[in-house]
Amino acid sequence: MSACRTTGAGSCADVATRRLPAHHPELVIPATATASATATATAARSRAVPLLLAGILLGLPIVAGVGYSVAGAMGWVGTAAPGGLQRVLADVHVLRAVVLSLWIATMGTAGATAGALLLAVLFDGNARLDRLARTIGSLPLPVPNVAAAVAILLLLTQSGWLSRLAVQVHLIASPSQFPALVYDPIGVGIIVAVIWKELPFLVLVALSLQSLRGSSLTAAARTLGATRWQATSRITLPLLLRGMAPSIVAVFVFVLGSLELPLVLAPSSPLPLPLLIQERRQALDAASHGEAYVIALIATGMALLAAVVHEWLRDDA
Amino acid sequence: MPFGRLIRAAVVTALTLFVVTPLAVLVLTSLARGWFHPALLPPSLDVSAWTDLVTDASHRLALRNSIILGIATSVIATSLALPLGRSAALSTRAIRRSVALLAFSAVALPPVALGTGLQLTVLTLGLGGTLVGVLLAHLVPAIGYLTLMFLGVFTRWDHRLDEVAATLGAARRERWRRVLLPLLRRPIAEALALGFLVSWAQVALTLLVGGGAVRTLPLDVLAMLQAGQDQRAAAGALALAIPALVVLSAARVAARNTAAVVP
Repeated sequence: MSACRTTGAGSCADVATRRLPAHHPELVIPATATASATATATAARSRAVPLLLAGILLGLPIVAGVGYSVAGAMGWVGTAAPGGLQRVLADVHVLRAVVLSLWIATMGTAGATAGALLLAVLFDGNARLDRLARTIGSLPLPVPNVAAAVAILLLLTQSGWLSRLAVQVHLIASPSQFPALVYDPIGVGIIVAVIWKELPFLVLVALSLQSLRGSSLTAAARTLGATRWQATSRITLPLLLRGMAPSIVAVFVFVLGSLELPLVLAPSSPLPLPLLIQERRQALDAASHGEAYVIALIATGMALLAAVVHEWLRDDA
Repeated sequence: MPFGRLIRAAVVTALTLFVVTPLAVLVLTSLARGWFHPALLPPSLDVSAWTDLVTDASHRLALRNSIILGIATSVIATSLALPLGRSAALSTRAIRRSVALLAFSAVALPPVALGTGLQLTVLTLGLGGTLVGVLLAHLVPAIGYLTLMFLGVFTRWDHRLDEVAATLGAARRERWRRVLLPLLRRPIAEALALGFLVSWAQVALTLLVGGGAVRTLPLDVLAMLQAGQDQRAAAGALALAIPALVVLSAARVAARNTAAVVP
């Protein structure tokens, strides 16, 4: 089977025909002849077809997307004035946007990962509480980003539900005394929304890894005298993290590029990267349009880097 | 072990509060009339925001656009990603990896960055601000997701079935009709659902390529929120979660009805 996968369909046909003679002796000669002819044709096609399809369906739009950004940044297309690159690199707003976006993506991903690990370690059994915890943990899965952002906004804003609760229990007297958890410069609201939204996905990944791995390694460690905590910290957690690595990178990169959560919850200064691109694109002066393309290129570069890391981790896992 | 049990109980309580409170507030807001600070619960409930979603002409248009885009994206992306995923899975390791990298890039590129370039392409084609232009943009991440999915399906596929059918004299078309498609019914259903959801929740690409002229439900929700219509925004936000909820429930029912389920 592995030979079929690595060498393509041609050799699979050979495997199939070689197996047949015992049951179908009459098929031997014509089948082998057909199979080898098909094998040659398939081998020649098997590289061209996926390359052509992938090139047209995926490569073209990506090249168009990135290419137009490059052309726009250099002032070759659109109304942008040249020199955008130098201005962007010297612009403190861009640097702050990059830092804020990286901060939000890092904290959000780390929080969701920690939560997923905690649930996978504490609730991987079959008791009622385990099943309940897993069900609750996966509840936000069907909620789209926009809806998650609205829900977190209604909860955390200064006139939101938490602020009402704080008034009712006499922690604060008026909405203005409630801490600014949304539109705040360090993105607390967005980070909470990211954790809320991404927790279910990472919980599912962690639980499926747990069920695939089984408990034999942990049981062996316990037999050899490891405490429960040692077995968890030295075997379960490292294995889970290793298996989850591609999904963690994927979450990080989605959060980095997501527009919906910042659109609802982000401060106006500093702006996260996707909003900064939007702001520069919609600015009235032509110079800003060129800068939008340059910033889009920076965001693209960060995402492509993460895509390469993702593929590398996926192969290694 | 009482200490362990205490920790588990504390974690479940914290998890329930963290996960359920935002959803509960969303549901309450969608039903609340005149719910002002600092009241913890709304003074009265009404379903006007929900009925508005279907009766209000402008919402109906946004809902219709979202459904048309979702269905078109799911059908087109599935029919393109299936052959791509299959041919890549059958090909060499290098090609498989390149296709996976391209597909992941289509998914992972920041929509705002990708949309900036796509907008110019769509404008050049004369499709700026049209439903077809937005559809083209939605297809990019959808094809990326579904290619990754079919690549996974066909990498684990037992290709011998197809080859045996070929050896027994089945023509290409017959092999697809009698062997591949019946076996692929479940992955295709999942791909159609995923394709729909990718388009259904899309904001950035609709905003950039549609240029504000193409209204969809997520854009309507954002507009209502900005206009301070919290009740209607909350109802719209919950409506956005309905298709995914249906898909997830269907997947659960299907898993329960399948004889052999991986533990």
